[in-house]
Amino acid sequence: MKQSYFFNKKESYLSAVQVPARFRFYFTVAVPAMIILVTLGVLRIAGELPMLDYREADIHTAVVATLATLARLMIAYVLAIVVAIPLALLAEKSNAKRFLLPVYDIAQSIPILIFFPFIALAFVKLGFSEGAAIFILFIAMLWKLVFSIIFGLNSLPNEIKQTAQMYNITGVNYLTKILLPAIIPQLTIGSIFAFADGWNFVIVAEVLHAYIPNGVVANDLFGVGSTMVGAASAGNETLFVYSLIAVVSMVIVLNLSVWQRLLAYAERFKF
Amino acid sequence: MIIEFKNVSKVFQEGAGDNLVDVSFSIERGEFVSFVGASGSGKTTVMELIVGATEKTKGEIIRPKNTIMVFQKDSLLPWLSVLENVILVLLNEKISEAEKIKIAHEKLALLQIEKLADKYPHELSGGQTQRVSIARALAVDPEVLILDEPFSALDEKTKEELHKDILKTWKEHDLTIIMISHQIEEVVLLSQRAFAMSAKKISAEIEIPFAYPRNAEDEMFMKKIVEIRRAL
Repeated sequence: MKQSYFFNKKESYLSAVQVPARFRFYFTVAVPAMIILVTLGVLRIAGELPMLDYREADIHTAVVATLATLARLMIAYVLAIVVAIPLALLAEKSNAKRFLLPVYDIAQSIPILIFFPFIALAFVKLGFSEGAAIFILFIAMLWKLVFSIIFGLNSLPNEIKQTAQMYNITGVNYLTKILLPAIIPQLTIGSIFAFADGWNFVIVAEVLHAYIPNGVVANDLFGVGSTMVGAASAGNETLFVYSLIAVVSMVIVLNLSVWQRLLAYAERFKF
Repeated sequence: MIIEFKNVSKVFQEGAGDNLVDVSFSIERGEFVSFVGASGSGKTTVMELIVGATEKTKGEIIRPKNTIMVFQKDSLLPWLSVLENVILVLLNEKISEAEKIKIAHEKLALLQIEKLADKYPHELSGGQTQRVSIARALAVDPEVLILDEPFSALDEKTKEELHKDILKTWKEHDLTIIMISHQIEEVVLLSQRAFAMSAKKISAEIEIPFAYPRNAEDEMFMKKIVEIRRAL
């Protein structure tokens, strides 16, 4: 008799739904490797950064800067997911839907970049420059995720909602066994768009000196965005091209190793 | 008597007309009853009122709490195996984990689909999906089982096999079964009583007092089909 996953508390949700053989490499090698790379990037950000001379910097700088930016994007993405899921679940409640959806709609249509000078200054004054970039990336990603989750919740068939009601599947069981798995396909698509938006905002988010009165390059956050701007200003075309190649390569690797595989995996959560 | 409707009306939206008009009927424990009618005749609204998915606007309803509806489609979770889909409905039961697994296997065996326990919904045929939905419903030991157009998407052979399984399950479990259908022949083949519905009302109540198994080529059978068709 096969043991059902509901009773095996040691298993994670992903292993619970029986990862097929073709995804095992992904979950056992690719994801840990990605986590290690991101951690390296985070360490690079957190470490004591030497003042970069963009006239001298080389391909090594471009690669590490791309990893640092990826780490920043990952932190913003995780924060955005953590906030987006409850916001979307709140809007799903019928009594809140009427006023929350228009509020979300207005919020997502406000161009956040116009506020960036204030946000950047505020974080710099607090002595937490990193927060400015993460915050702007977080906002850039948030609404894409919120609306994709709301769309996922709305596509839950009525039969499933009625079935849950009939069998008294409520609360945590309803959330973890039905709602969260049901949003995985839309959440995956939303994540791809959110990450794409994140890359778009990176240059603005890392070049903080542009928003600080009498700002200097030392005010910038180390990452591929600031490296590209620094390389262009210093006339180091080679570094600029290396940075460009590093970003494009990272986007392609992420797409092939994470998003495409997650999209294929999400198929099993579709009705 | 297990279910009774007294002059029940239902309006979903003010000004949009009634979805159910002054409906009265009663169903005895252990009966196999069908509601037959065209799309939009009000059958589904009656079922939603019985399971408590919607509230009546007027009238009085007596219904048991433990009523389960088996839908025509989309009620299994695609990310759970067949066994897990059945166990899901037992999560709130105050019995041991081993007991839950045992019940799930027993119900699958009852519907002759135990070998499908590890399969996923997308790997099942329409008939197998319906069997899993019924097995899952039986796992919570319902007093009333409602079947919403259970055979409409099935081929003739599968339909015939499932008819036999449903009649067997009904007798063995002493269940009350309510079936929604627009297939009159199917209604006469399975039920003891039929309520014909048209224009949001019950237009006729027809007894079908034949012994099982029934023969669709029998003259009385054919007459009953005509009687129901006239009532619609």
